[in-house]
Amino acid sequence: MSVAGSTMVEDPGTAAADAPAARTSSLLRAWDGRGIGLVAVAVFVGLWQWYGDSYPHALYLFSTPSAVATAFGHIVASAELPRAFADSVAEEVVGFAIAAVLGIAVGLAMGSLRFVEMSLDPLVTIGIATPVVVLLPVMEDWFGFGYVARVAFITVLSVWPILLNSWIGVRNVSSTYHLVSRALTLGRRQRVWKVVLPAAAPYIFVGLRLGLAMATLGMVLAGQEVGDAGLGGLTEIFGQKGLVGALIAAILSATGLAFLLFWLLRVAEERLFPWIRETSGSR
Amino acid sequence: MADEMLELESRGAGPLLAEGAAIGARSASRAREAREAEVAALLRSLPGRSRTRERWLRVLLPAGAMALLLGAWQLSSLWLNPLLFSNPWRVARAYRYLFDSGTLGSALASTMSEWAISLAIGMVGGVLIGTVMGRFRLVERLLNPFVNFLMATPRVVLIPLLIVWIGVASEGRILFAVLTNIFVVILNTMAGVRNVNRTYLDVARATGLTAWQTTRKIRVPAAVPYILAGARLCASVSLVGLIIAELEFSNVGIGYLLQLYQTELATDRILAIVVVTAGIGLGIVGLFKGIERMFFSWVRATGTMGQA
Repeated sequence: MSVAGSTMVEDPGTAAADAPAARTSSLLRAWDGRGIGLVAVAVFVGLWQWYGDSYPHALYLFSTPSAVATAFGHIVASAELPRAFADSVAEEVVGFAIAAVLGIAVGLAMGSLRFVEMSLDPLVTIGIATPVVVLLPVMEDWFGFGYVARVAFITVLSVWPILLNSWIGVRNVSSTYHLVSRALTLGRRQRVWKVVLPAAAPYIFVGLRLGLAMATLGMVLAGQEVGDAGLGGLTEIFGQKGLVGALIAAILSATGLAFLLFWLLRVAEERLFPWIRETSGSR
Repeated sequence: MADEMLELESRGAGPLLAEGAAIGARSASRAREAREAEVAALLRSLPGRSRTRERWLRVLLPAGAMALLLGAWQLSSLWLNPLLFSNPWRVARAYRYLFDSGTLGSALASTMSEWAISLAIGMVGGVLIGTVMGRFRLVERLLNPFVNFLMATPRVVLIPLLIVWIGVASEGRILFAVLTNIFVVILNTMAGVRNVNRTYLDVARATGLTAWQTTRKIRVPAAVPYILAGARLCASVSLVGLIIAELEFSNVGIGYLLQLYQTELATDRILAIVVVTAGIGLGIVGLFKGIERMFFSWVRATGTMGQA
């Protein structure tokens, strides 16, 4: 019990450190470190294939990995998937970019101007507690049944975490930095761009990451509900036709898109602020 | 990470110092004046007359901002189509229909009962899975690829698949809500079960507690702050998931009403429901903070919350 407890706290670093001492055990450890998960996935895929092959009626409901692969080839060749993917990326990036500019600007104003903070604090509290997805029909009514409504929905969904974290980040800028920027007689603009925003960057990027997840949700949901657009629309269409193989291929593509955008944000963070990783650990 | 979304109430000295800096001298030679201004700002923040002034401002400023917003919206009807863009007056009037016809009441009853069910399933399932994954490395390694994959997938994209598999009844909505809410509980429970203070475990060993006693008396209480944070998020996320499911496929609930009124272009009714939903969202956050305060006041007192 207690032995198990202590291995829980042991971090991977120490495990690697005593590895050279016992070569086989380190190999074993490395194997069950990553291998077991891969084996589990392989077993799952194998069972899935076997189930679909042995019970033809299951094929209709659950498809098989090979059928998914074939369907993937088809929808790529027919340009359905690439077009939907590109549409989705374009919509999400535009909506998210608007939300980022808006959220950071308002967060900055709230974090640095007392009266703005006091005025907007309750509104932001309400906005964050509200399940913002209820605004989808409102966006449809206001912006029409198309592209503008989808982008507006993505923005409205993803702006809140960005705003909140920018606000907290700006408020938590170390007072030493303020003193230093005063000693250097920096102007307001320099203070914002050279001191406050970089110092708040770790928080802002947490907000951007949360916001991006919301933007992806908004992109798919709006695509399904507002005029069958992009990947969301593709899943809706395949679902209605009962093409489970193609549907699963489209779902996997949506996961890939989410990964891609997260990776891009990560790269942007590391390029712009390489020190964030080092100074703020897990964040 | 996600907990930072709810980190609203923490008010540090940040704005005060920022204000001090703004008031402060423009040049380094006037640093002394700046320091005096800072002291003055600090004094102003102390209890006394200025405290009451601040309390008033905290009420008046947001009220003013709200009034400005609503006023502008009301005036917008002069040149925007009030049928589409509505206005506060129309929204207020829409409640009469929503209440008298009973549609809002029955939609709320359906949504909130399914919310409670999905919250319960998400909490129980999430704490169980999280505990097992946190205590047993092997289980964690086996499940990790699947958990990571599902978490990376925007869950909405699974809805057409759920419709094919389960259909459009209540079970489908609840399953979708659980798919959206369970991971935050799993992750928080895992973190809680793992981050037990080493000293406590040593004490447990020294006093000869059995495995079961250690789990019950030390591991579970140590994980409570994390699980509570998870519960709060789980409750909010469940509502979002449920409303998404109702928007997509349902003939009951708030989401369905919204979709119905959208096709009727009844924006005033939609917005009236949006306001109600905002109230429910705030109520859920308040409810869970209240539960924490009532039953788990030691969580804050011992400062373990900060780790979550």
